[in-house]
Amino acid sequence: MTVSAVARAAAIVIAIAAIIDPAIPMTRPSKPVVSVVAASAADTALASRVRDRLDDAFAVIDAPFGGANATVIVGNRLTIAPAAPVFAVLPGRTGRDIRIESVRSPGRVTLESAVSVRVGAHVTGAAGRTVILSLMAGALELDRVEHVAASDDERFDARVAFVPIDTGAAHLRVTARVDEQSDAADRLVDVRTRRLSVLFHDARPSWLSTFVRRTVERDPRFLVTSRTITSREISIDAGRPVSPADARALAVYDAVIVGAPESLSAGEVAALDEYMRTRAGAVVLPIDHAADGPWFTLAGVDELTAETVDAGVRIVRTHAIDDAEAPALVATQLLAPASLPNWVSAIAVRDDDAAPVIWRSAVGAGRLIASGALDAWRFRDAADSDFDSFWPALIAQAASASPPAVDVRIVDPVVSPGSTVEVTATFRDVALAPPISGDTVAASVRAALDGPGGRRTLRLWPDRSVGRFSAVLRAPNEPGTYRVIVSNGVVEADAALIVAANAAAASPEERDLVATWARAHGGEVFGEDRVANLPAALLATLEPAPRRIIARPMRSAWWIVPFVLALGAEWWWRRRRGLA
Amino acid sequence: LSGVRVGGSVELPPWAGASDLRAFLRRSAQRLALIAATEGAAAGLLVAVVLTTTGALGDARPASRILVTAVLALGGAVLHVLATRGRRLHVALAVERRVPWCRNVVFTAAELLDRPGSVPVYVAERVMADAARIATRIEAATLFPARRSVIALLACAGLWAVTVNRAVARTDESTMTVPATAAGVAIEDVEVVVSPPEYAAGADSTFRDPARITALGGSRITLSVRARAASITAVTPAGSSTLGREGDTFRTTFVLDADGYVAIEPRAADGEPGVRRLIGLSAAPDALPRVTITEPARDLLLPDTDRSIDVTVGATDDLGVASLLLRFTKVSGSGEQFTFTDGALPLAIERQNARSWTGRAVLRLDTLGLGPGDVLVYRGVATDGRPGAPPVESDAFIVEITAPGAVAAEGFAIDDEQDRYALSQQMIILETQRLIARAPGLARDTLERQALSLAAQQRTVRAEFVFMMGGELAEEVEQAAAGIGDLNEADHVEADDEAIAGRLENQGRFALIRAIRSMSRAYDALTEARLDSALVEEMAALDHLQNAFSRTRYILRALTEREQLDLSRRLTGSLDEAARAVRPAPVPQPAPRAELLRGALSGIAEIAATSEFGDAAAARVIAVAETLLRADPSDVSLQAIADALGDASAAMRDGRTADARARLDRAAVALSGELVTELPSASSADRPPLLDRLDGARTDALRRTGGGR
Repeated sequence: MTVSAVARAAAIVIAIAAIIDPAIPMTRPSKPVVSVVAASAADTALASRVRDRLDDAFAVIDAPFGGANATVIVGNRLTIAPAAPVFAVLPGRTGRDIRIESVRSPGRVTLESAVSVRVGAHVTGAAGRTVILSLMAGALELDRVEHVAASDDERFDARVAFVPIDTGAAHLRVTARVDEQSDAADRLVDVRTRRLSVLFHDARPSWLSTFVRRTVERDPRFLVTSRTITSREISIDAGRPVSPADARALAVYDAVIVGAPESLSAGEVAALDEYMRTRAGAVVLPIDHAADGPWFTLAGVDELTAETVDAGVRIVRTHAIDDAEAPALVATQLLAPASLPNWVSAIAVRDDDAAPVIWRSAVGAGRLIASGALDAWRFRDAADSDFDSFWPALIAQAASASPPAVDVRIVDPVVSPGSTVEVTATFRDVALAPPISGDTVAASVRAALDGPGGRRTLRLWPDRSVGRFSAVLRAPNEPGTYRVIVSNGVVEADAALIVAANAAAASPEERDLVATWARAHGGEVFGEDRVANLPAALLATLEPAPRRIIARPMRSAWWIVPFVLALGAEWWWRRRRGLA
Repeated sequence: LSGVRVGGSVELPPWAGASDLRAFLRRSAQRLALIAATEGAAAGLLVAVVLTTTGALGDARPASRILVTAVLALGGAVLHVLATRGRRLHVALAVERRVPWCRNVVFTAAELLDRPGSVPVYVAERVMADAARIATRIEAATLFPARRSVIALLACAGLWAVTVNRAVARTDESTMTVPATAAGVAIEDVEVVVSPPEYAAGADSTFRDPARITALGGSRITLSVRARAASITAVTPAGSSTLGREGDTFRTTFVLDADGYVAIEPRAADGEPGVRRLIGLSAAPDALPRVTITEPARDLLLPDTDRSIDVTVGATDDLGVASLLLRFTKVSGSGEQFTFTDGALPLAIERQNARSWTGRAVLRLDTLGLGPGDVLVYRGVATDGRPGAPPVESDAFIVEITAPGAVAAEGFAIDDEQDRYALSQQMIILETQRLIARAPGLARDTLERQALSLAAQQRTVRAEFVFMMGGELAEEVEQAAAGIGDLNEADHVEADDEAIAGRLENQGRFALIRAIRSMSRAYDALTEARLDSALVEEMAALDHLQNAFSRTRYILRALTEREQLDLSRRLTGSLDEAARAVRPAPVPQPAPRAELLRGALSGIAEIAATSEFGDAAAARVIAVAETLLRADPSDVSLQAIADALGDASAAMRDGRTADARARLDRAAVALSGELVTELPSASSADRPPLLDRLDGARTDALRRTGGGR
């Protein structure tokens, strides 16, 4: 065999092998894959530093990745971490800082009400310094509170008040400032003229119900319709009240207050139950007489105990119904549940022994509130109790929770141009219709976004729940106030959306949550100054497992070299021998 | 050819037609300059239109707008003339372009004018002659028509006029709620001199540009206003008036009687108002003296009158005590047979200072003629220097001389709630006699007021007896007790005959009813300040009372009355006639104060929304402050808000925008705080309904299974 033949054979072998492209399974040690996730845009710089640290020993992916061997969360907010173990790198605190973590307030209010805006803030490095919280509406400051930081790392809650000036969407901005550091968060409060519609039905004249009604009639948040039955077929009506025996007719009311409930018939009790379940309405029972009757099934408790005391008992709130500090009510005749089942919650209790006097229970999607302060009407003097403010507040809260026929909500209603906006619309009658097997509930839906640029149609999609639809849209580029309008063909409802170039949202710091999450998922927590230790910790946790791979050696471009050399040698050899 | 210059100091050769050609070229250049200026001015106007349309000129006055436009037009004209200068320097070239048949003769001639020696003379003469001939055949105005430029200028001017007119109309609309302010009319400073009332003996105080004046009620306020204005009007608590002028100073004087405000408004000669200035007024009342008996400062029950009591009385006043003495009333008798005797004792006064006095006296009981069972009531009485101020009494203490089996009497000067138990018809008579004695020295309205006070006491005594009768006048009494109606005194008097017509055979009761009737008449007389008539009736009532209690103590209701009940006046009858009562649903209205505060807050928000403040904004702020003060001048919180707004207005006038904003914010925060107290809290219920449904399902499940207990 000549050199020429050998070279030719080698070239042919290489060519044939390249055509076959053989796959060879083999086992090799590999770099663990680590997913590095920045919790927010502010953390990208630190995430980049973390990635640089890990690059040598790990295959780093800058995104959440389920196939990774570990996830490193960089930042103070808990974010998607699909792969365990989870390590966390928390940014260091750079001296004094203030952050608004939450801004809460009612989303929809009537013009005739004051809105309490609750602000949660986190201040660091400012012990003894004064934090100023301001509430701005447009260019005007409407309220301001000051808080002296007690420590260098303090979370505190504060309240600022907003009083609506006019109807429409009010764009509120809460700012927090300590020295030169500041933060801001926006909130939308939709101010409307709609009053809460309530029905007072007294099956017989009742002092308690009468005085409760008078407090509510004076309150501009309510539109009160009432009926007091004074004798058979004789009543005193205000407005056009409907019979409590007609659940469908009751649907126009947000709340029904039934005085002298022991006089209710079984049919009326059944209708009230249906009203709560299918309308999600509120029924309030100001009981003034300890007597049995069909109404007892509404009360939500098994047994009621009557008690009369000599001196008036102070009855205090267990929930923040209003901002008052005085006792809600005072009474000497009490009717209280012998024991409170755990589906019932106390709203107001006796000051002396904490026995529940006013309680609440859920009935379907609605709610029932019963008061056992039988003679609280006798202690209406403002020096004794908050009778005049407690009842309107209680009834307003119960009635406000009754949903409208179409309930439109926007997850984050103050956004910057181009942001993602999530809209949901719930059709009450459809959502609360009794589930009947095989029955079909039809719903017609129309939606539009109305604003400075005109009106454009929105497409709502059925959600996971019956009667609920949702849409995700891009916020318009033109700043302004928009309205998402949803209609079912009969009733139209809307929700406000504010597009502002400088929209700011509360940014809760979840430092502790992130740390707990990391430790619970087999990882560790590193401060920004200890990032150098992260690779070692990851290596200690992640055993470098051998990886089985399929090698295809002929796909290497270097084969071209021996191939050309072999062909060249064969040609050179033939030329030397004088062959063609 | 590089072009030909026109002008300069080149000496013209004596060629025929050279001067004509040069004149033609100059006219053409001037024409081109005119066209350039016209076009530039049109461009300037166009810029003004854009600025007006985009609102860049804000709320500027019409004069300012015209000035800005003139500057823009002039600037445009100058710039364009300068920019087209090269074209005019080469005017011959422009002529050649417009008139092709010149065949460059004009251009060549112009070049020869610029450089005369560059060609042979005969050539130059021939060219110049031809050029001059051409120049005589064409006109610069025809060659360079300005028609388009002028039309453009007029069109731009028209467009500008329309846009300015609309902008001015818009500005007028936005400031419609406040008076327009005249330019140049302004208040420079305000000096306020407060002169306390004479009895206060205080020195005058002078304030310059105050936001609020707090002074003693009755003080005389003198306003001196320096202003650039033809006249000044001031709204004071005394009314609206035009201030008197002395040079550039305007003055007015008024007496501060109550809280309020002064609004000072300068006016131009044509009556156009300038920015108002607001000064809050707080009238501090002259406090009444405080009198206390410091020794013995307790009631005494003594076995006899053979002793003396040292009494020490202290009095203080915010300005000065004017008098201090010890008054006593000796009460003798029992039942309705009381005798009241008034007297006074001088005190040995020790003045710590003008505002604090201490007086001492000795009550010698043996000289006062007291007997067993008699009571001596004494109290300190002080006055301050305020004319017409009522004397102030201290708490009263009693000295009772014990009688066998007697119990210490209640004090006579006791609180209002117990007054009605201590009053007696005898006391009414005594008070009426005292009032009759003092009547000649009293003003009519004072007399009527005090007579009404006595009428009220008479009415209280009468009511006691009515109740004692067990409700003889049942309906009236029940109404009064329920607060629904009131006792009808006149009807009661007229029903006298019916009342005594014989239904009541019990003589004691009869006398008692007559006593009540007399009390009713006395009441009527007292309400009309007929004191003599009232006294007669009061004494008659006392006589009847004495008769009633002397003849029989048996005054219970007689059974015969029960038989005469008028059923038609009771809630009885046929139920068939009963019907459902329907009334409209009540529509609660917002509280007026809340509306006021909301309106003010809305006004401030509107002002704060503007980017810059000026006199118009200052005037609007003052208008808001005035609204608040007008609503309730005595409300301290509103006063503070109005003061903050006044400061904001001053800052706006002075161009301190940041300061003005800070003060507007302060006022808004205070207003908001006040408004919060007027409004109920919004309900915080904001829960998705489906969550409630989940709660309900859980409740149903637990109740069904009996779990969760």
